[in-house]
Amino acid sequence: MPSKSSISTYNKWVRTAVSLIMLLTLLTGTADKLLAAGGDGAEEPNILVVYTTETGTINEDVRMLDLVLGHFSTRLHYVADAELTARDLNGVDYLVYYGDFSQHLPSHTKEVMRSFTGTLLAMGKNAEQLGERFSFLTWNEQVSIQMVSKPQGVDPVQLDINMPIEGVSMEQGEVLLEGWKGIYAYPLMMKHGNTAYFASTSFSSPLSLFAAEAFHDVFGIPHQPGHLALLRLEDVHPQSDPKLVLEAGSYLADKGIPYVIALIPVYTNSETKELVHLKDRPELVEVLRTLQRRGASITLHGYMHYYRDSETGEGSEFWDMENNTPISKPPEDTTPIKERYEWPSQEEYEQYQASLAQYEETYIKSRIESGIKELTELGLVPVAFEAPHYNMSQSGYQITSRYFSYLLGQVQFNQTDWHQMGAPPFISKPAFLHGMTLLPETVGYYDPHSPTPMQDIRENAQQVRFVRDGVIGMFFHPYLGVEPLKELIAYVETLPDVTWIDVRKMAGYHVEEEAPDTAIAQPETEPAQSIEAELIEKIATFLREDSWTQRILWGIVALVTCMVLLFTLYTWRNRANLRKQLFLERDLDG
Amino acid sequence: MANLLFYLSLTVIWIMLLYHMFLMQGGYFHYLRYARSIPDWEKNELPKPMVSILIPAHNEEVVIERTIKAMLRLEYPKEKLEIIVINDNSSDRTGEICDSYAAKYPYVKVVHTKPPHAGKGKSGALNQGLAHSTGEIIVVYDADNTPERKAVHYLVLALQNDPQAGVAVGKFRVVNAAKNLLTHFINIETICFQWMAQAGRFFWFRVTTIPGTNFAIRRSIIEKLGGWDEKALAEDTELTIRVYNAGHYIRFFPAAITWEQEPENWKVWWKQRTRWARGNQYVVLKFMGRLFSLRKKSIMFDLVYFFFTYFLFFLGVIVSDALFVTNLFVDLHLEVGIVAMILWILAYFLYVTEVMIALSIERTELNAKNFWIVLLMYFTYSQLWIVLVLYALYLEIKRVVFRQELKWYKTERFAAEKKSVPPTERQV
Repeated sequence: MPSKSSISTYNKWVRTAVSLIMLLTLLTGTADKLLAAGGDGAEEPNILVVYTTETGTINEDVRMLDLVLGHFSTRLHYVADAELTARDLNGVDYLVYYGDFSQHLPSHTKEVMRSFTGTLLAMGKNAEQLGERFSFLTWNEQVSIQMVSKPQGVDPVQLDINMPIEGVSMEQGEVLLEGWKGIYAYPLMMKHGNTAYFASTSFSSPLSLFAAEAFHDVFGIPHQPGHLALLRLEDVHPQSDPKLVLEAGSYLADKGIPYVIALIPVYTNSETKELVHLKDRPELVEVLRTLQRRGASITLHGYMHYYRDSETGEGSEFWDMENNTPISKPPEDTTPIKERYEWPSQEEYEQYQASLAQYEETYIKSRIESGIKELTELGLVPVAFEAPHYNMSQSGYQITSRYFSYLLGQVQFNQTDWHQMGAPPFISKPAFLHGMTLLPETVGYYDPHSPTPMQDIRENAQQVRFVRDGVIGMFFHPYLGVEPLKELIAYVETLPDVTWIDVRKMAGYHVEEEAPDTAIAQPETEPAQSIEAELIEKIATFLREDSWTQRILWGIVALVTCMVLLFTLYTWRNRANLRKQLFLERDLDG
Repeated sequence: MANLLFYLSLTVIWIMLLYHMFLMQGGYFHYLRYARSIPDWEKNELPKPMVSILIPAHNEEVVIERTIKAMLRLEYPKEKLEIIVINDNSSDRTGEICDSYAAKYPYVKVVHTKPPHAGKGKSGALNQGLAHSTGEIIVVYDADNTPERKAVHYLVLALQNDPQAGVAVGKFRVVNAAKNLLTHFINIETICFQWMAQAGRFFWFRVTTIPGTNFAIRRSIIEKLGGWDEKALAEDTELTIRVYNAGHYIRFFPAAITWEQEPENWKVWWKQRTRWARGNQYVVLKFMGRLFSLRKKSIMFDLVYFFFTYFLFFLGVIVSDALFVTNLFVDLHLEVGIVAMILWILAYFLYVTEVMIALSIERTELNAKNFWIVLLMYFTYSQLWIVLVLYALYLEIKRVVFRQELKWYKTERFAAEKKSVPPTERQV
């Protein structure tokens, strides 16, 4: 038996070795991952996507595909099946075909695609029409799967709903993803030579997640394993409690965790319509500057966070939720948007539409510019943008891309319905964001109204971790106090191999140590607090901040749990001794 | 501010809960040990002392005959026993019934009190009985009690073999437990009270409260103390403190068992409990002032405990409930987190397991029906205690403000003098 001291020496060695290895993995992982999305494009593969959709236009599945492909390349091109020409293939490294429904493809389309000799990835229907290269597959009936796994490497993920996929049997090749129905596995994604196939027409959540992982193998871009994490302190606005913001931010800064503050420069009270600008709240500005100096990345989260009547932080600012259309007129203008039949000619209708689009552009520009101006005047530099409620029209993204190169959160997929939105599991630079890089929110937020806020986040994070360089993107409302934040961070810290994203660093912005001497309102002289109020405040802060109260409470929990168990044991013992006791008491009673 | 209040109430509540947990552990230890000394003590075969049993009775015609019969069956040498029924100004047949037994049995005596020495409450009756008694040891039973045969034997045995004990207190059980839901509740409550509060405190601090019935006190002590305090509503709690103050302790000896009737309807119950609560509040206020001049420090501890129970814990519960309710309508930004939730649930588990131990000690009480009643009791019967204390406090304040005189309410028909409701286990 080894002596005690030899054990501790041994432990020390193991610990040092393990931490060194972890450090190395972390370092190599980081460099690689940060490059993955931000590369300059020269080395990136040229990817052409040919799609067959009901409308012949890009639908939600193709948008999602764009978001996933945007992780591997920024050289992305999209063309509808009927419009494909041989010229489109010039310089293309990878051809992706997405078939939303079964149909006979136009013969010239088939010809062009068959002539392609590079790597071809087909998804969904019609792959059998794409030539001999798909002869390794036989299509059978559809099957519904409940779980997806990779042949090796990561834990399988249970699906919330059953997903129908194409039932495919394969004679040769390699399975990249398997779908499970009970104990039976069906190939979900497979590869044979330079031909790959994804056996589902559904490319939105949740299947896109698994494809996102498998695409690494298809495109031969392995990326190092390891995950990223991104945290936003959400909805900070002029009425936010500076103390709570400072508390949350300082906690993260003390731990050396880079994070984002999603900042709204103007607060409007929905009842009184009073506008409060950030500069009217010098204490909060000071807090934000301090936090920025200590590493926080400021993000413009809209200008007011609402369009029509609602309180700051509640409404969508860049989408007309009431009509489910892009912003097209002043909020107080209630006239419905006119349809084509209400105009005598197509020309006039188009003119009308152009005027609506013009309004939207002016509106978005003015809001974003005001936001940037008001923040920078206070020495706060917005390094990214996050649309309120993640809603924005497609043209909105184009306008935004003139100001920002990083977009946070999720994105709206189309011009017609704000419900269609989502995010890829990793950093991506899809074609429809016009050069903006999306830093996705993938696991939600700490929701105090959920009975199991942490469990919700854990479950989502578990899915994201299926993807080798997935981003655990989340947000937190600082008004909840720092305790749940600690819980959140503690959880992320338990995950192996996670690196925090520093948006500011990615955006190449460095803050000087000195705060800029821009015009900032002098703090008003505060009325002197009474000693009692101060004392109460202090005690309250102490209870909240200092963890020993929490520690004592947990200590009590542990003690009481032990005693409850012990008491149960006593009861059980007494019951077991009942017979014995009966005799005993009979003696006593005489 | 709300947070501060919350933490304060949480602290007070959990001090009480942890203290009860500690008491229950002691009670269990006492259960394991109390009987061990019996064989040795019985072997000593000390000469039996003269014992006087005092039974104050005020309009008890319904129960007194059964009580006297139970006394006659006691296994104690009859030549060393006198049974004194104090017929305290009864207007019913109580005196008549007692006299008929006195005529048949020479060791049964009846003391009839007449105004102005009558109707002064239990303390007054006991003082009258004491004056007529000759025993070296005085045993007190309520008029509705049926002690087991060896009850007096054990009480005397404990006093004889424990010279430091001034008083020996036995256990009482509820005879009408199965009558209705209320008596089920009371039954469970009394079992818990005895094993947690009585046995637990005795084990850790040698402190027991005199429950007003089924106890034996040395004549020398009660005479030295000048008898019972006729002003006290809770004369037994009051006597308890004076016994300790005189340098003695009270032994809890659960081998001596008596069975008593409990209120079978809520109105009677309410009146009885109000009297106890007021009585205890009176005692706390009477002695808190000279807390540090008390001779026995352990009883000081007990007074603090009463103070906690009737004032602090009670306030803590009220504040915590108020915060909870307010928080339903207005967000108070309480920063409590998951741990408070867990504590809340644990408080319930703690309560259930504590009660279960107590029930499992009594041979027939650990059954499925009682289990469900226990689960229910926490949210119903136990919560009534808050209303009760509030009401008693209101009455006591009214008394002080308007200088009202105290009156002795007799518990209707099911009279049973015993003490201090076990403080209700409560959530945070």
